Amino acid sequence: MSEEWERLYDRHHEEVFRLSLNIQVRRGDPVRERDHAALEATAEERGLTDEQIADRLGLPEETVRAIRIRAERERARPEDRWLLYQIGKRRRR
Amino acid sequence: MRPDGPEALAEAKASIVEYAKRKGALAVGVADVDEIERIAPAGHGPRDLFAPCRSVISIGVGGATQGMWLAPPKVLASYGDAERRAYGIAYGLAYFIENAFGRRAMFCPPDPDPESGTRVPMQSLKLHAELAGIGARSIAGDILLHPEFGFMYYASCFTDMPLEADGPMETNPCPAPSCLTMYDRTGKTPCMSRCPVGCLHADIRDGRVVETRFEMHRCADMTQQYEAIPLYLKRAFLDERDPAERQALLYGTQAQDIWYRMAIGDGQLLGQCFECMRVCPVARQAPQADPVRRHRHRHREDA
Repeated sequence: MSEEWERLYDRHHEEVFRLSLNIQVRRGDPVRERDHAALEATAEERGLTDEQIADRLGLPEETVRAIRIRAERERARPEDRWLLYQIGKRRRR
Repeated sequence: MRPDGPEALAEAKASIVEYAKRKGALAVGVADVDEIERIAPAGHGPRDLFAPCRSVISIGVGGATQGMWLAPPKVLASYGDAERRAYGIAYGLAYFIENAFGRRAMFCPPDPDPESGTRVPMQSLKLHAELAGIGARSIAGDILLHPEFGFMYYASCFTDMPLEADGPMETNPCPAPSCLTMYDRTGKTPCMSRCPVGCLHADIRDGRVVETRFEMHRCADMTQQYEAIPLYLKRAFLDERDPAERQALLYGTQAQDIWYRMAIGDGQLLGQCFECMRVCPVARQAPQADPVRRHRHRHREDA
């Protein structure tokens, strides 16, 4: 990994992750209500594709994708799977 | 004969709905392609995959049986779903349309976009279904709910036949009255309170959902096991220096579970824990939410 890449990653990973589909905020019920003004206004919060994030941050799409995927990997907690095995045993009738 | 004109197209639509329901769909709707194109991000509209698309047909099939809902998450995560049945019906529907009407149709792939990795889908089946009027977004990560059938799995079929579109639902069954009562008392709805990783949040005022927040990455970390495979391999082969820990990463029970699921295939490395839906009154108690309730409904209708 080059130092330049590391600097780029450090500078943008929080924002790229926040803007990505990993965090999705919905205000009201704009798709069902076909409220296109609200959809446009809340697009960032609902989660963006790499292409959309690239447009907003002025970065190449491939760079955004690489940052996002690394950020996902570094935040990953696969051990959370074990939480599933600890609940609901012999209690559901 | 190729249907042409409003009456023939209306008959074709009725035949499509009848076909899908005969094959097991509970709900069928047609979404307005232009509306989808307007809302979906660039590169993720139906015409990005099927340029002559004039209609998107969305179908919904029922989720778990009433008995399966009693199982713990380690079972539900493998067998609580019915998504492959939905895909099978939509796949067959494309053949039905071409055979019956001489118009082009294709199964809409439900998979992630290979250019973007596993967390970005090629198409939003949720958007298709919502605009086709067979589901509305819930607090539980925008999982769609139907007031009559509760929680369903969705699949889509594209066609160049210009069918009349159905609009979205007039009302949203989420949150249910009992959820509002619980929220007023505790600040959480059942789905929010039961999520094992706390990925669901909502702000509800005067009975209306003002804002929902879904931390999809936390849900994915817990349920999408295919994402864990390279992490375990990296830890075992590159990061971990302790031989016992390396052994555990490769041969421990969590690794064995992944290798087993990879070996048997068929989508066993993805799913959800279903805790949010298990406690959802719409998903579990809608009039036709499961086969037992549908059985009762049919018998009431017969009587």
